[in-house]
Amino acid sequence: MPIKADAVIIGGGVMGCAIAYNLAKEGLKPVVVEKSDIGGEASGSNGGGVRQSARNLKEMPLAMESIQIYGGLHEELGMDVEYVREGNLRLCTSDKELETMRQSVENQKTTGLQLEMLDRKQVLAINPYVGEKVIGASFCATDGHANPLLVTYAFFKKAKSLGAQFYTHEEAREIRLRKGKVTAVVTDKNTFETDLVVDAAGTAGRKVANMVGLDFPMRPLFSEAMITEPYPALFKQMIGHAKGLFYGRQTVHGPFFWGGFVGTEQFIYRQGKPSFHYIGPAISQLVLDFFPVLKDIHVIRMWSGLIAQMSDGLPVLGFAQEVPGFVFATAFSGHGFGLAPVIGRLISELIMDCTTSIPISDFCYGRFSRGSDQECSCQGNAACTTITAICPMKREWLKSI
Amino acid sequence: MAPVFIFAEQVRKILQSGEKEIEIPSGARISAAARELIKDHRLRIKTVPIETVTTAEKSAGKIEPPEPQPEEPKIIQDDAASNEAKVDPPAEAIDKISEAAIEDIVERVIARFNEIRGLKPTETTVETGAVLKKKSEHQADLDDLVICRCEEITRGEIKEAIRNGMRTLNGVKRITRAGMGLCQGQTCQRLVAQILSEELGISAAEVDPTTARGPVRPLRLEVFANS
Repeated sequence: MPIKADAVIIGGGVMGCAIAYNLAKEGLKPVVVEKSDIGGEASGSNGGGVRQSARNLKEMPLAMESIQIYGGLHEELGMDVEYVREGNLRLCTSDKELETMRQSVENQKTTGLQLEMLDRKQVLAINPYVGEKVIGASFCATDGHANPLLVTYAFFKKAKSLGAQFYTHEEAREIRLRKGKVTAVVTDKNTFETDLVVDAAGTAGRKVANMVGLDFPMRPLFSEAMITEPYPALFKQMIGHAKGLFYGRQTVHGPFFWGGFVGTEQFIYRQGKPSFHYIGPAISQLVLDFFPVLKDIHVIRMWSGLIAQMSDGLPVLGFAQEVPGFVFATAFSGHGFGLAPVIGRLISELIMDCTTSIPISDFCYGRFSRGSDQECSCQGNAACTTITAICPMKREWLKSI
Repeated sequence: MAPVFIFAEQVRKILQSGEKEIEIPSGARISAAARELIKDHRLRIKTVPIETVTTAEKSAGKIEPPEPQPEEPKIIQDDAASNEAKVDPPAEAIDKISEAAIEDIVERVIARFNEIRGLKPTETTVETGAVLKKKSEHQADLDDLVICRCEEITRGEIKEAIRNGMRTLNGVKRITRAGMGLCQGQTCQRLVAQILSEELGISAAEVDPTTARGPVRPLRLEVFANS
């Protein structure tokens, strides 16, 4: 017996839950299909950074809006998500790094973001624990971090209480089309009749797009992280590295989270399996260089996650012109967690009103049609043409309730 | 003739005395526990006429001495409080024994049990509602039980996460932090798996184990960095 749904969201991570929450708030009854548990993939293994600095300038308006939403998220969702807004330090160790950082800061300031360059003395005033190597840093006071597990869970719980339905341990296998339009999603257990499908599947987003004959240049990127035993509170800032080699924070519970890249992640696969025995020590070495005070702390757990890395590092958002009823919200390239609340809101706006309060045309699916170096020529999400077939129906339905 | 009940306690007494044979009066009923004991210890059952039951058993006070029986089995009234005046239905009528009579026998057994244990009758002969209440109180106690000692996560918190839709140890761990502490779930993982199997109605073997993560035991950052 097929189940009727206003929208089917494939992927129960932080994006899927945030979209489900916003749609449920608008009065729809969305269904979320998740192949493992809620937040089982990247949403359950990321670093929890909520930052604007060092983002692609195209993402900046989204990030700035997201910070605003994060500020009131615990009240909106009725649950503490351990959000800390104490700034983000991106540490530099050489003059060259400092110069690149200075340039980057100037660029970011053009978008209206408040951030500054600090010398070593100023860095020590904010974080007295940095090592001798550090000669300066960029500092964005409105950045911060949150607990990704709790944010996902909070969105999930609130969405559920508003009428969204969650089907976990169910894998979407097929998206049925009729006359080119989405009509149903078939999982290994159920069939959901719907005219709207949201691809929020993260690393599996490309696979889901393939189900309707679409494709984009994305590949999973291996990333490693570790957590230490709890430690008395030392600092509250999010820590980053000028070249992005490592990043981390002290969580509200006390343990330190450290993640990082050694640069060879794309090439470590041997016979289909990653061989990563040297990444943990490499990250530890960096942490030790930058925070020598932590040399006696114990590492208690390491894990790896997959980043849905796009060729240009930007997500794919919005309607697919080719397939009416198919919406992208995937491939966030490793910095999606901080954007989750705003993406949830914008995708919901797109579905309900065919327009978004913040333009998302830079992230349209069609941007690769002429090669990655050229400006996008598709109409993208700025003018939604194909979804007129869906929107009036939704509006009618909304009026009827 | 009164039907005789053989209880586990009597069998135990015989076992203690070292005998390999149990005398059971004809028409006697053997309680399930007693039957199990007899089976376990391979006691030979010797059926004897009711008069020849050994004195040891009589002194145990378990078996009603045979009493002069009236012609018709007396249907015992529910409200009859005194056990003294009661007469059990004869063995021949055992198949036709009324429900009220069975209830009465059970009541007397419980009363006898209480007597031996020195309990007041009110403590166990509580109303069903009271029993349920006691049970739920017990359940509440269990919900306060700390399952993950490192992170101090209670059974109730774990159950809530499962009721909210978590189906795996990894899922429960992410939501509740059970298993995220210093021991990395070496203490609580089996307990959480048990709660999962109870809540989901599956066997513990069907619960997926958590993903194994290194290091095997806490490792100093300095040591790890130079490994």
